[in-house]
Amino acid sequence: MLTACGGGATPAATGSAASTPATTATAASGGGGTTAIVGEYEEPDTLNPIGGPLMFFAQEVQEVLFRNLFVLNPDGSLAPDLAAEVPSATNGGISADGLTYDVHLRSGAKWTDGNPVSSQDVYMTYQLETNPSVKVASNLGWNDVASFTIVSPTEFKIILKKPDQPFLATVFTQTQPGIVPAAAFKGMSADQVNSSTFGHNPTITDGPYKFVSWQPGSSITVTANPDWYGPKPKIQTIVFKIIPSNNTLLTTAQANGLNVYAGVPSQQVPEIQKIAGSQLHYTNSSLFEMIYTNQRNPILQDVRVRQALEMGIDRQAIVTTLLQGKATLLAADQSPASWGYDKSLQPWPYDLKQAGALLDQAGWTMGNDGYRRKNGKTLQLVYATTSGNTTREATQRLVQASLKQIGVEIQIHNYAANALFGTVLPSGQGWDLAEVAYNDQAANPASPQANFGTGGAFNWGKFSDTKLDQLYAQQSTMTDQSQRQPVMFQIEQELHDQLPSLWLYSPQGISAAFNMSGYQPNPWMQDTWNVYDWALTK
Amino acid sequence: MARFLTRRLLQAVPVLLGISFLLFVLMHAMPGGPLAMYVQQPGMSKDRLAQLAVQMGLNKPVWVQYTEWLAGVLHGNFGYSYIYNEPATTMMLQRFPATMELMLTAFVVSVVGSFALGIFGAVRQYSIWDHLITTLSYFGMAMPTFWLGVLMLILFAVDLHWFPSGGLSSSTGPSGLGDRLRHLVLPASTLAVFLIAQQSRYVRSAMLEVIRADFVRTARAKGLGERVIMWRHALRNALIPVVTVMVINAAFLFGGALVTETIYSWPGMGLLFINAIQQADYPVIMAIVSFLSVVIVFANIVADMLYGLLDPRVRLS
Repeated sequence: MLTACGGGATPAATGSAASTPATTATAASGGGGTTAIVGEYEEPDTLNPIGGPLMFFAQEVQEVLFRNLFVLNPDGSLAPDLAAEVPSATNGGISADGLTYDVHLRSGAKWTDGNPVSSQDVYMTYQLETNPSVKVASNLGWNDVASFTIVSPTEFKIILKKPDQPFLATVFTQTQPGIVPAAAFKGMSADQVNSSTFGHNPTITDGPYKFVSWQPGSSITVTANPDWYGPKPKIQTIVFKIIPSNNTLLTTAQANGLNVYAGVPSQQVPEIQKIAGSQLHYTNSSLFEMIYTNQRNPILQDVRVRQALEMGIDRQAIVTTLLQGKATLLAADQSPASWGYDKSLQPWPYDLKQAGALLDQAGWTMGNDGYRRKNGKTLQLVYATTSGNTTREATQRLVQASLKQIGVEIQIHNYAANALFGTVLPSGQGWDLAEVAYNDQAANPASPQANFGTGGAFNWGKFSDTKLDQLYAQQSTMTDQSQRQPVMFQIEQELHDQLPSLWLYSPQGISAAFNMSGYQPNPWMQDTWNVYDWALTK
Repeated sequence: MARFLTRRLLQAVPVLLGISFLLFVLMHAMPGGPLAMYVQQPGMSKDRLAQLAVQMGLNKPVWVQYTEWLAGVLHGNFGYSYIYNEPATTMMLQRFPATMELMLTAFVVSVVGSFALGIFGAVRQYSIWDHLITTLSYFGMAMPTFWLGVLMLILFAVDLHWFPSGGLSSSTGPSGLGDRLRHLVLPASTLAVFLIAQQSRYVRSAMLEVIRADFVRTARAKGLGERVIMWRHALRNALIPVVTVMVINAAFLFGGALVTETIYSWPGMGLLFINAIQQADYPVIMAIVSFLSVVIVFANIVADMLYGLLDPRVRLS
């Protein structure tokens, strides 16, 4: 998922919590505290687990209401949730050719209307996900399914069109897409599904909490589900309060009106530390920051120029000064949290001398005004990103100053997130360099070819490399992670050498819990993934 | 009066149509568009985007989309939000009570406050109090809401704990009238400060003009009491220009205060509008904008009619 939230206040995973000072004081002193307050920087669009488009804050609430077949543990391993076990080649759950999946559901899982969670529900999800007229969040993975067979209420078989190693993680771990209750959509046409009220009044759920109410623009309230199959939740009621400003989120936390504030901007860390009972959590994320190079511009088609740019940017300074060191410098396109990340691959050094030498070789000679020229043309590039994001804007100024030293003139031109992703990037017009974040959203690189494969959906820079395309094709049909990993590492090497994007860093997600125990953010799930472990301590 | 009203109402029809057409075209000319939210989905393909465009009707020419929208509106259907899949009018109406609560409070406070300060400043012109009020009102007008709002939040919610930091009511515990009022104080004051600062200047200058007029001197010569002169003679005449400003201000307030609602997480129409614009949620943008244009056009008609009531010299025909 490309993430560049509008208004720029939330770089990636962001959440927040709030209430009124008086309220929380009462709840806190009320003995044990039965209500936790989680802030939401954005109002969720829908609570329907297949409704779209994807929104972090919608998923944060969905995760307490709906469960999927598996969970991804913080270390990236799969564990069964609604499923009885994780299918694999060894237990016979996945066929040798990697095409057939045989999945068993656990017994005892129930929807809140009393019906058991059954293969019928997964089948309904499959039908809706693969119906082109239904507005679904994402059909990644589902669109590779050739057939779906219900074997019994607790067993079903899926046959894929082609092997897809990350299939289980893509389709059956998150809440977007999740599993819908068949009873809620039975006999509905696509139009009826699209305009169904289920997304705003999800009365049939199967998670640790049940839906109570949604005050538009204000809050969503859920209460513990006594019939849930998992551990008994320790907090009775959770209020997801919508507070669409990071300043207000901070002041609300300072007024003791907050139990969870996920996605704290790094600049707010010192203030958060001063709040009594606060606990900051830093989590590796699958998110990474990079600068696409636009291959439509002949200047950037020369790999020496791209390498010079990468070496001309003081990336360590960006991480140290702007992110308080809470990020890892990258050598290529996988974050350290992913198994596709090759630890041995070193990021390009910050080396102005070598960068200058490469530009000399490429025929760009230094002019009297401090900028390089070739055939009468100045080495000048337009650097775009989402407007209003303070970290990115500060990065741009650092890059501008950094590159000036090697004679490259950077012009900054930023766009609102909606305009950048909807018009500017796809058109290829109005930018030479574009800084965005990318998030594969699964422990398992699900579609690495999307960014730099020829014709890839997010290949905004129109980069094309034969060797890379071959490697992408090779890994896409592999069914085994251990087989896929060396190929992924070769891809990393090629991306490192070719620099279709300038690699920056993978930031850690920052979140804060206040007067609470059991809060443990997970890079692969929403921070509410283990909500049943949360307990108020004051 | 009836003929005046009929004529103005008929004139309003082409005005409203023109506004809606212009805004519709401008909205579609904005870069980005509703599909931008979907472009960022994992696994999104060009084919899927094309399917979504068809579902939303975005593949048709803008003028076709406009006529379809207009036909829907004439049947009372403003369409479904692209993002929330709910009827745009429902979403707007859900937010309307919160906006009304905040706006009416801020408006009433501002009207009372600006008359009090404006009249006081005019009667005691050039006194130390008048200078103080003048200075403060320039201060009030010059202070941006996003700064004043955050400042009040830090002072009264974080440091002093006098008032809650946002929202309409408490998430837990009692949420009676007292609780609602406590939540209302900061956002309503933030809004009222600017309105009082602006409107009290109008009241002051209108009063100053009137209290020097011949008829006021005549009233004094007749031996009328100062209070009667001020309230019955001067104020009524000073109201005329002031009422226009206030009625139009009130109309704008209906749209919700974008910044104030964001700072105080007030679930009103302003917040909805900002989100809709960021997400290019066309049906919601058009529903709110249409509603606002109707309110503002009507507020102008009301202001003109009030003129006639307040000033016998104005004949509405």
